[in-house]
Amino acid sequence: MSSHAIPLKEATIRNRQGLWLFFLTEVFLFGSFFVLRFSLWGDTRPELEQTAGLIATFVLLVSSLAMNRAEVAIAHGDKTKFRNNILVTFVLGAIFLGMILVYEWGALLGLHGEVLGIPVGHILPGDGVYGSVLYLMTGAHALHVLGGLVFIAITLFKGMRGDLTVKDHFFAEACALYWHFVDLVWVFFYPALYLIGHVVDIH
Amino acid sequence: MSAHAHDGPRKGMILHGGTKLSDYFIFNTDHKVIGIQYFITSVFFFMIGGALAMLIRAELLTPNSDLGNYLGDGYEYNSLFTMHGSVMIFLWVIPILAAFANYLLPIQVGADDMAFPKLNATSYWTYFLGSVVMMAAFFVGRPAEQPLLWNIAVALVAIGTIMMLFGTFRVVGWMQMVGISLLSMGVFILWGPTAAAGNITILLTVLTVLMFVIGGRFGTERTSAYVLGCSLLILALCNLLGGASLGIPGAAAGGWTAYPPLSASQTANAPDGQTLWIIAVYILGMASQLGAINMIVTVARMRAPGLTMGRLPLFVWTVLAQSILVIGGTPVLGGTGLALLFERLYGMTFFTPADGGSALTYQHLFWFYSHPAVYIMVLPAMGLISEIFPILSKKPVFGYKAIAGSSMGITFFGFLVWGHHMFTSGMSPWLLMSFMLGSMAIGVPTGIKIFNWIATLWGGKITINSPMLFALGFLAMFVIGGVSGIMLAAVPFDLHVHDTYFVVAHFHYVLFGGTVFGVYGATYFWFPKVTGRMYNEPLGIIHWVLNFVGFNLAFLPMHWLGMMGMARRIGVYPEEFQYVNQLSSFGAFLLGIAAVPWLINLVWSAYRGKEAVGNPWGGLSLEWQTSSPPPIENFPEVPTVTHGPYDYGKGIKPPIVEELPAFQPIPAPAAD
Amino acid sequence: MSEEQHETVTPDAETLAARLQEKLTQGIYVFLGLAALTLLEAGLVGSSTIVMMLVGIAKAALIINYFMHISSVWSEDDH
Repeated sequence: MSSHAIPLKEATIRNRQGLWLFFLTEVFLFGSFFVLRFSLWGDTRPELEQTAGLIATFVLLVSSLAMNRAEVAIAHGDKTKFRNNILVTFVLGAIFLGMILVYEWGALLGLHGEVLGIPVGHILPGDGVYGSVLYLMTGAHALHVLGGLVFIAITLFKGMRGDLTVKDHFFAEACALYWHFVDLVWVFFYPALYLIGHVVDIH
Repeated sequence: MSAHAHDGPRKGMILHGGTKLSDYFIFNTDHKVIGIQYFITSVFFFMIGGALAMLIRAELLTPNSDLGNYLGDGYEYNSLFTMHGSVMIFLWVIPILAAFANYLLPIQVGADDMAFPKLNATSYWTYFLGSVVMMAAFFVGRPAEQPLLWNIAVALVAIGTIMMLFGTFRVVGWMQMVGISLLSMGVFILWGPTAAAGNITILLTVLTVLMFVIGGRFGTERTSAYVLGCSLLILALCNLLGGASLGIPGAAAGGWTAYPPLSASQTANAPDGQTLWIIAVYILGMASQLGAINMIVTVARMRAPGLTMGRLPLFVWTVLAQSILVIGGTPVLGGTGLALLFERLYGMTFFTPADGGSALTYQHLFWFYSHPAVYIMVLPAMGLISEIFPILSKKPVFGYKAIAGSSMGITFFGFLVWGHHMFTSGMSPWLLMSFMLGSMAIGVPTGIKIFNWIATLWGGKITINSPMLFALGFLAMFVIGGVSGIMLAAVPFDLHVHDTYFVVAHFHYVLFGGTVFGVYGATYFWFPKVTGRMYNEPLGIIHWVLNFVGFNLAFLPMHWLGMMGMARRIGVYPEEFQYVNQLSSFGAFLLGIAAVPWLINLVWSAYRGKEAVGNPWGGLSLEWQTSSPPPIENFPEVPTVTHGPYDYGKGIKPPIVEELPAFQPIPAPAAD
Repeated sequence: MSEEQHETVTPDAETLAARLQEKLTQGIYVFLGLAALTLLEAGLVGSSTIVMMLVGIAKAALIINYFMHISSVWSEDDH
């Protein structure tokens, strides 16, 4: 119940600090999954589709670049560039989500064979520790991507309505930071799931 | 209520700056209201947790299983101690400290509110929701056996829905709140292995949408409706998970640590309540995290001019340390809980060794949170008595920097020593050694605090009253708990007494003898500040005597039981332990009775106590520089700080009692 | 509060556009670095965990520093 208004600059700093502390809690949350992966898989990993993994990683990386461009644009008052770039971010984020669902959750969703020339996922959550950790990590990350997509949609809407200005665009900044954070998590999840250790037959 | 303040003595409860009683029942962003909400709710759960403890001690009066004869299948005792621990930790100790932090911290740093007031209120209601989910575990799946309970549940749902809808349409906040509580209780009682779960989920989802739509239409109660909508959504989610329930009624029974494979197994010893328990712990953890973020930003950005970090009251330092622990520890518990939940519900494998999982990993992750949690539960209580000692002995606190720094030291070491809970679980001897040394090292910052407190008292003008007695009790009891902690940190000794009553005695000396004594003292100490009335001193001293005697009678014998080899968590024990157990039980009953004068004191004094002045103890920190209770924005104008919080005897004249007006009437805020 | 005064002067359109271009170019360079590191990582498949984590930390440092401009938390300046 503040009786006096907080200056915009001060409010931004507080929001920024709160947001970073939130990221810190998320780091520990994802960290616990990371620990589970190394404790349960050790020096092994299940066979995952390498092409799909690399493409998905790049899709997310490019979306992060687009998000950076969108944020920089709105911070400097370029609304057109903001709109174009944030749309690209949204589409790429959706593609990433779709790729995870098809190429890693494929078996759970009842898919078979190949989609666009790449074999769909063949692991189920019940497949011992390999299936469990895979679904836990990708699921937690995908949920954050989904939340990010909603966040991006709202940011786009607000930006187009004119709520975000050169002086006051913390909403866009928060959205960008969140999206980069989602990318940051994937930076560590990608090698943990796809690259580290030697492949074992999970069945 | 406040308008005719100067016309003579005021009658009834004094509510701070223009608030109404109904403000305390709804989504309110004032940090003082939230603090009181936290206080009342957690005291309620303290009573429930205490009642469970009484039942446990009643069962242990005799070596046989008595409770099983009355209640049924014999698993009740497991539920009792599990729920006693969970309620006391998650619904009482952590939130009661949040209550003090919420009320005092912004005033002590000279701010008008927390950094994120809405987040703060969300944090409280998240806690409220989590507590409903946890308590619901007692009723889950019961109706199938008991038609009466079934009818009660249906009635609860009906009345709750009507009240909630009426409250929403007519914009009566408290009615909404009561409605949602009844509704959720009813839903949880009904929720079981029935096809109804699906229908209830649909109903809840429709209600959620309704709440959002209605909440959007009425501006004033908008946020409240949103929160209720979100609560319903989470309830619906819980229900959806319930669709995969095991069909075993009963509350969680795997101990508060919920070790797999027991808690992950689908047997009668891990009933549906265990699922709810995990969900509840996750929700409660979220509430803590939101609170911690708020506290840190408040301290970082909202200190009054002149209030440097070196002039912060020690309570603020401990809350800061606690918040760091929450941010680093609680999410790990959340992630581990999620894995355990999926293992229970969806046949995934993380922790069950038979399927290739690792039970040891659960223990590591769990204690990575739960050891810091011990400090989460005790640090702010240390801060509370760090306030009481210097002010009531009228001396500068001895070693301010050492006490503040040792809080941070405890935080740092707290993250490194979780392994001492797992000495018997199996780990490499080198790790055993390092965990042992690390755990003993924690005794150093803790000892620094203890000696500094004693040095603060040394030669001071000590006022012996209820808060001081409880603070002294904290000191004595915490030393006993701390010393037995050092004993337990030694691997050879721990191997001998692991999972015996010695451990139970140790953590009750730390958590009850430490935290709860501190909290008792703090309720008396800040009672005049919060309520604007003085507590009843004789009643407070009766409370202290009963409490002190009962506490030691209950828990001191447990050391002997542990040394003799009585395992914890058993309802049936060899006959030779009976006499000591009876001694302990009578002490526990006395301890239970001891809470009665406290409650009477709180309620009676809030209505009828002598009116208090702004600074009854002559304190120098900021919360004593405003009226009792404080106005809505805490200080009429932003205060400037020119000295430390405990600079007694340095020529600073605290605003003496008479110089402050007893109460500054604040004009009621305009509507909306 | 000199910073406040500094804030009140709205930069003209040209300065803004120039600054924007500068930041966009920087973003591209950072992206190229990240892409290179990702390819390196994929090429190192099966190698030791520590090497992988070092590459991951390098990527994380780039993202945190340039994309999430962590310094804005304590510098109190606009990025």
